[in-house]
Amino acid sequence: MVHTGKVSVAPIEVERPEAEKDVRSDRPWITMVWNDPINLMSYVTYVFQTYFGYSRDKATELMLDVHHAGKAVVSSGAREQMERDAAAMHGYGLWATVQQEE
Amino acid sequence: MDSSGFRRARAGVIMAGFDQIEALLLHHLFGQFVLLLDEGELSSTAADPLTAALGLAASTAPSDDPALARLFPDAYREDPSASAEFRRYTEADLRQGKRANASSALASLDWSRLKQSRGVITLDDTQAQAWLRALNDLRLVLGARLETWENIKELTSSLSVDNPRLVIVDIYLWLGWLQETLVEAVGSSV
Repeated sequence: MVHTGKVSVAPIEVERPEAEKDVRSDRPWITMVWNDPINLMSYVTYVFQTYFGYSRDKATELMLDVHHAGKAVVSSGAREQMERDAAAMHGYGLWATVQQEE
Repeated sequence: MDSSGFRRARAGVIMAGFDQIEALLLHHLFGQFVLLLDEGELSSTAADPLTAALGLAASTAPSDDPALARLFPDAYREDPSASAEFRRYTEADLRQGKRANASSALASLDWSRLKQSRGVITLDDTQAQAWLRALNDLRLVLGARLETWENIKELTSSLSVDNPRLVIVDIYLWLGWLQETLVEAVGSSV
């Protein structure tokens, strides 16, 4: 493709009544890891350190949250990234889900 | 079983020694695991060859088999259509990854070769990662089969000594110990 000059694009105006706007869309997305009695505590900590690059302390804290509270938020951000994180957790055998922050 | 488990020998080298029974048992279990993945794939692969060729799974819901359901869980707890979409685009890769990990572990357990090294297997970092995930997957399957969603110790004490499930409990606990030594080995610097 060759650019021959300045191209200006007119903004497309779409009428979107404020009332129909999905209020959920503003809330950030998160990846949640859930407790199960099979995965080793040391392994879960290792996965959090390795995949997310968390420090040993932070990874241990998250693992203990999963263990005691039954779940922990391990990452937050764009939905696509959360899906990548969840897929990676499934690759490690951890039980992860994606959702919007409550 | 008297394996000493995994240990880091030096940078990039992790070793473990197995006797023949242990090596055969692990080989058998990883082999069964690959068969389980194959069965799961048969029941989930698209009948439409084009879709199958693109690596898209036809299944949109978790498997009825609790072990497969645990290996390939829903990614959205309260949104079945988002879960189905996620599954369509990730399950084939996820299955392929799990199969590759188990195959890597299987290759290192070939007894005719292990005999020459007196049962000692030597893994590089990539092979150790494959072993780590494959061992975890194996425990997920056995755990799901044993229904260890409750406490494994309660299960052990509630089974009579001649119950064949006790053997599986023993194997499950041994695999947990073995994985523990591998986590420590891969996590330790030299």
